[in-house]
Amino acid sequence: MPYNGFTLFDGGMGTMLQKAGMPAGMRPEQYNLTDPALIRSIQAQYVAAGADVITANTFGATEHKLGAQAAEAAAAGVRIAREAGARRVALDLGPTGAMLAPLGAMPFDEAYEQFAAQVRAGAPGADLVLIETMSDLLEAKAALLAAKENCALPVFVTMSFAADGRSFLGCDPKTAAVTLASLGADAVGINCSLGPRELLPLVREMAGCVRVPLLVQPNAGLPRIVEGRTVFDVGPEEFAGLVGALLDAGVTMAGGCCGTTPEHIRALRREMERRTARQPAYRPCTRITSGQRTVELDGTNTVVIGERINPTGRKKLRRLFAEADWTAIAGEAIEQEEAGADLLDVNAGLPDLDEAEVLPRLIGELQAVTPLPLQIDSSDPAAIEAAVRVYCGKPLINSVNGKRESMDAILPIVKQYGAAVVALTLDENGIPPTAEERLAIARRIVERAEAMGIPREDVLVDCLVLTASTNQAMVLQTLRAVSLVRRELGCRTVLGVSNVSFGLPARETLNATFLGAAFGAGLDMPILNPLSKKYMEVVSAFRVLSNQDAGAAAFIAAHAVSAETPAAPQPAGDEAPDVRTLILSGRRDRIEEAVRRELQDKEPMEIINGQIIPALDTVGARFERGEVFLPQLMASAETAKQGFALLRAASPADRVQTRGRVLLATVHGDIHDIGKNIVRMLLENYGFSVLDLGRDVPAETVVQAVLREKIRLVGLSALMTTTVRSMAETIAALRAAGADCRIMVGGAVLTQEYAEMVGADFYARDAAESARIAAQVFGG
Amino acid sequence: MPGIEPERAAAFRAELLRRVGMMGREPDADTEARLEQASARCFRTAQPRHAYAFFPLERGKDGICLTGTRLCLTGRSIAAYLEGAAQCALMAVTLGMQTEREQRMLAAAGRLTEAVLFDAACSAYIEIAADACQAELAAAAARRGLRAGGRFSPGYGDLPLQVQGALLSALDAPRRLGLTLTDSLLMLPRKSITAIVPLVRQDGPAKSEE
Repeated sequence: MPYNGFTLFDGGMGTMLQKAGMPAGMRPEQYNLTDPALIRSIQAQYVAAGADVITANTFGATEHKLGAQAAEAAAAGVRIAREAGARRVALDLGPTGAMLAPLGAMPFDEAYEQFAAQVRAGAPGADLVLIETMSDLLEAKAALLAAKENCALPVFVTMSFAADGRSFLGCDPKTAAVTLASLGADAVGINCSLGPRELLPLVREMAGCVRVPLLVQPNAGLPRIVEGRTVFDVGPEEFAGLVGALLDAGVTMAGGCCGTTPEHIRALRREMERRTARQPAYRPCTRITSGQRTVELDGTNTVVIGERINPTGRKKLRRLFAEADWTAIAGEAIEQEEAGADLLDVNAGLPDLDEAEVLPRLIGELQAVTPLPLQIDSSDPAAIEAAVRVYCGKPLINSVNGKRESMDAILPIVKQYGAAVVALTLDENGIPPTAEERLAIARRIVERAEAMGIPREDVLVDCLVLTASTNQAMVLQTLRAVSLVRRELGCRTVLGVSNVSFGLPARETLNATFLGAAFGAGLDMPILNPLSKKYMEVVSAFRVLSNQDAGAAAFIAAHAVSAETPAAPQPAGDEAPDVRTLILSGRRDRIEEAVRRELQDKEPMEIINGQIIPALDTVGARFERGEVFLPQLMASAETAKQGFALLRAASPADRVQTRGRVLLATVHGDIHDIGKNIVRMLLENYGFSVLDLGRDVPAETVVQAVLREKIRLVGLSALMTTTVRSMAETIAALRAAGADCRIMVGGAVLTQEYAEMVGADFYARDAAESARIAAQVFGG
Repeated sequence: MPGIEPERAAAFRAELLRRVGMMGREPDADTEARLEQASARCFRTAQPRHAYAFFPLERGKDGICLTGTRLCLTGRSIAAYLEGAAQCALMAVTLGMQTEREQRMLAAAGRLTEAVLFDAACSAYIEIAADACQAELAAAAARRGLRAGGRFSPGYGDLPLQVQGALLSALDAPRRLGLTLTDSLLMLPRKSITAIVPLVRQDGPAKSEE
């Protein structure tokens, strides 16, 4: 190894080209085809400066950016670097420039295909693949998978972080390093955005969390705008000195990014020559990540997995899954996050659902709203693979077990996608009665995993809770097994707690008691319902007693809050505000008590027609007259919605009738949905039921749903002039399919004329108008 | 506490009230509390970032082209707007993706009033952030003897939205700000503003602020 075990990369290309007169906004990769000598001469300077690795000029050689020339430019880039005398050539992959779904519009598979094409074109002739300047961990994952699945070269991945220590999409350095190394990156690190001074704390976050080398390529200082131009002003010697501190912190591969020159690299080489590379010792620890955080388990902390996103035994969720109401399911995630869950279990196991299709979709929707890492829970290996592939981060898979068939199917997925996995202590002979036998199964799974290259810390063991009502004598065997697994295997343990009380009364008490006992036996991760106050109290109390909650600060703070919260106001007869008054004043927090009081002597429909609808009409009229404004109108509508939900829950299904079913969607290419959400709320408040297909909905999805559900009124929303075309296409597709429905349209850019032009039946200028249209269509 | 410079607080409030249809009105106590909560949430989640750069102009048959970029501006409105300007500045401002996630979170949690008011607060904030960027840009221009005019964004008048891609590239906005464009020319993060600002010589004809 040259330079005492260090590897020296080259420096900036883009900024060198700009100095040579390249226009801003020009694609540097085009020079591979138009002026290869220019590229070659810059790279030859880096070779002369001592760089071991020359980065081919292929950063943006994707179809998305370069069109049909992409493959040719990628192959030429690699060839030119070789001609420049490079000892090793890195095929360079930069971001696609588009935001990936679900936050953006580019599907994961499309990003993957862009990178795969680049790899297929450029890898022949290269020595390694360098994925860099990523700010979206999911996009970095797409590129890494594309590289590993389309060539056999080592793959290095670096991400770019802003001054707050996070990427533009909120990823921190540790999360990036852990996720990418688990996925099989051969080196991970940081490039661009910041200078070497700012990178030191970020490097320290990464050090010790991964077994692979750390690579950094800082800019020549923070970019500054001077007189309307971007400048980087850390000179070669200063740069090298600062990178030297990064080498001392454990970085063994380094080069430069924007603003660095061959002189910077030459100076850095001198810093390497006077040191010996020393990689920081790896600290084994179970790490599970999302795109925004890492949850660590080192045996001294308790991590709660929320169990509620699971349709088994939950009627409401079954309905939400059937209606593909992802937004409402995502609401379940937020509820659990706010209740204190650290991780969320996600299960879509319903007989009539295609899990392999539903799970990946749901994962995306959940990751758009919660930073919590997810536990992907399925008995279908195909569904697990589809979900973990598009998951942003390092997921926990639930589960593998001791059956040969299960290990053969699941462990390769764990390995391929760098996941952690829950190992159930059962095998072909079922759940063994004794703790020792369960330990033996766990040992078998751990050994098999290790033989495949899955580290022990990524296998978490579930010793399986049996029901006290049927297997009373075995309940404590489970806890003994937990202790044995911890002691003998050093693995973290998981238990689904609530099973223990099945078939018995006062389940919460039994579960909470069992939870406390399980903590005593060494349980690390309970799977439970975090909305149960009792369970979360046991968790927070145990965190005090086990010295996790330092000074009991969190515990004391939580109890101080509940002591300060005044007791629910006791309605004293006539003084308690009624439903109508609460809607008029938009007091959502008090509507529940008022509805419950009314229900003592009134029918749900009586309350709806006698109080809710008149109140909404009054607010609507006041809004029209300019007496109240949007914030009050919304608060009233939301209060009414809450009232409806309570009335529906409190009455048999047929007692609150729907006035008709309306389908709503934001059209393809558009992701604005606030307006559509307001329309939905108002329609529901006026007694219509809504099938909400969400945003960015392709025309054929609308057509299929309209035909399947026999929808009579469709509402389409588009917020941009560029997406009104999608609206016209959707309407044309509905007409062509012979759908027997009326269509209303709305959105900021629409007018009556536009509505007629796109072929709609109605133009809804606001949400209230859409309710009037619905009343007209459904009569009454 | 993260938030807004004191001298821009009044402008923010006026813009926020305008966005919720209450221009010139004094909110009642409940509404005031809701607006304050939404503003605080916006300041907590937003990560305002900006970039700008100056470019000489070349007037040709493809429109007004910015020297050293592949951006050419077409249409009558921008031609009139840049009349007399020897240079122009491009600017891009964004609040970052965390506001986008927060918006999704509120919608999923069914907290629609909060979602609407948060959206309004972010819309007001991005205008204020653009004002701040514009002020910084104008000061830099003044040091070069140039006076900056008001901002003109793609989609105004007959300047097509299609120039957005080249504008963002010229500022290297995807890399520097995390600001990207979808196929339907929607900027992500959505709470972003791009604009063209005319720069005229200090002794040249004045253009009023928009």
